Amino acid sequence: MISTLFKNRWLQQWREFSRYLKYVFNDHAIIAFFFLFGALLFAYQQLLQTIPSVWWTQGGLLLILFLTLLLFKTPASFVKSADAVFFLGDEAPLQRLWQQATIYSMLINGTIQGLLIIIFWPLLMKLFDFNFFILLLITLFMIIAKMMLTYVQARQTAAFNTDQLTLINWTAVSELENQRLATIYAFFNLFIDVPGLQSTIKPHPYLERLRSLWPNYRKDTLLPIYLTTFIRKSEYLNLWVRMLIFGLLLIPFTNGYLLYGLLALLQYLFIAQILPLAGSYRRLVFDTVIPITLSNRQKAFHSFLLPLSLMMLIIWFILIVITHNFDINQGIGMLSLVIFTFLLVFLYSDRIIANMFKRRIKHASTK
Amino acid sequence: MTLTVKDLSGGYGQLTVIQNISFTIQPGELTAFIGLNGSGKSTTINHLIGLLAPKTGSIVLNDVSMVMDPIAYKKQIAYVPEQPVLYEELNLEEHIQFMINIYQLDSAETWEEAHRLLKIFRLDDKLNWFPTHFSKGMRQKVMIVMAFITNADLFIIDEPFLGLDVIAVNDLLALIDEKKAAGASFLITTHVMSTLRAHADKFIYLEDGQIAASGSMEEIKDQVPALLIGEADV
Repeated sequence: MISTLFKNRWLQQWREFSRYLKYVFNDHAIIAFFFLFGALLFAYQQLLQTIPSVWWTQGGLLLILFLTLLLFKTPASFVKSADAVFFLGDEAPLQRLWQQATIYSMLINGTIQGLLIIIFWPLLMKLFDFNFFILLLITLFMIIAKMMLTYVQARQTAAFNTDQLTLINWTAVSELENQRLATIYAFFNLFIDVPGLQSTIKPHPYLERLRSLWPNYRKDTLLPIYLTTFIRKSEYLNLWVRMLIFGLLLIPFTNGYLLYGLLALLQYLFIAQILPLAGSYRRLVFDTVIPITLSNRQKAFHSFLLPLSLMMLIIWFILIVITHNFDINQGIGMLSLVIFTFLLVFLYSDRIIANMFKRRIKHASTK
Repeated sequence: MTLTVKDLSGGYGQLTVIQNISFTIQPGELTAFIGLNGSGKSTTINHLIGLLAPKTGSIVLNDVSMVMDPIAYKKQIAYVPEQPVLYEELNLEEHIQFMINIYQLDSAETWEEAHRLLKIFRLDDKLNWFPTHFSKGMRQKVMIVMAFITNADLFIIDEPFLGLDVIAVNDLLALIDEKKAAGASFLITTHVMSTLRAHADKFIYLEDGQIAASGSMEEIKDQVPALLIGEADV
């Protein structure tokens, strides 16, 4: 029987999600999703017509299917940080919550896995000539594998040692739940500011050593802190990597105006989402005291953003040259994309940063 | 009520922080855990409340083993952490009701006691406040109220005096004496012995994760750094 605690926590979480979902699926986003979905369907149709049934396409598809097992495998527990203290008086309901949340996660993650595999059915039929019965077997196998992976992760997190589960590691369970929620809220944060969203700080020694090679690193006062935050704060570094990969995935399957339009959209989304970094220290009292003018901030942000955007463009262009025939139209497309990026970096970002600090400028003329 | 800790070693993941810790706490006894930062006080407490599993050794409260039967073991404990943890979506009144439900306490009787404690800590007019409105000291007081409305056999309190104003410290000490007189036992960690010296029956001095000295103030004072002992009597 489903426990009251599970029902309450599940409802509470979905009530919270629904607050943000209405901002995700706003009018503009629905139109954008509609076009994006259409473009993806068109690209998928093109792919099905042109993809050859050879060993490397078959191997690639199997690899992608295998990689889908790594997505959506985190178990939900609905356990909060305070639970370990409050449930000292009777831990049994908390244990029931964890057990039911694990079963719930296995079912949800298994269903998502099933849907992901169904998306690949047309490709599987084209490349391997499988019949419906084989496809069904593969899908069932992948669903069971995902459910098992979810269960194993839930158990490994909760157990202090693998052979007994009487004593549950509530600290680890609640930390994993916080991480899971942070990932979901980070997605919502792309559309609306989620209050209290904590991102993880992780050192990357190899990247950090390269900081001093960045153009103007020692000239622009704020550049070192922008760059360090970008490297260590997972949401920013992941954003750059995510946008880069989206572009790389688009390039082999699209061409012409559609390709350059989508790449421009990705550049815009990257810059729009990284701009909050410029104002992320506003709440620190230190930021109001340092003798930095608005134009210093804008200049440092140019020095930070331009190399990042250009690196992304260069990597995309290399793949375009490899996968498409290079002609005058490609050249015009690339040049337009570079000009668009410069406009975003030098005009758009300046305007947004100026707006960010507008109120402060009103109250203190030097800042 | 007897807590028996025997040859306890443990820590976080592969890191061993405490080694071969053994002690007992008798009914109505207040034991003070003292030591410098990083000496292993909070790690020991995390083991005693089951947030960490022992690498070796045993923890038994009233013949119930923490590892074998954690539910029955934990039922006997009330805990006040060093960093107050509250549910951000519940107000003070709902927190107290939640504790009453979890510890299966008599509602009318416990609310009467809760109102008395809330008055002592000047929180009686803040029942509809949410944690976000509380200062660090007020959050600490909320945690204390919630622990003290229970009938736990053993109260484990981690650094209770940090962030409390002087009046609240005296009120807390009076409440501790009250509960002790009713037969409850206490394990309290602190950096400075002076606040607790008039109330504690036994001191355990931890150094580098091991018990360096234990006994009454007189017995251990030569083995503990003078600054930890402090001067003032409370």
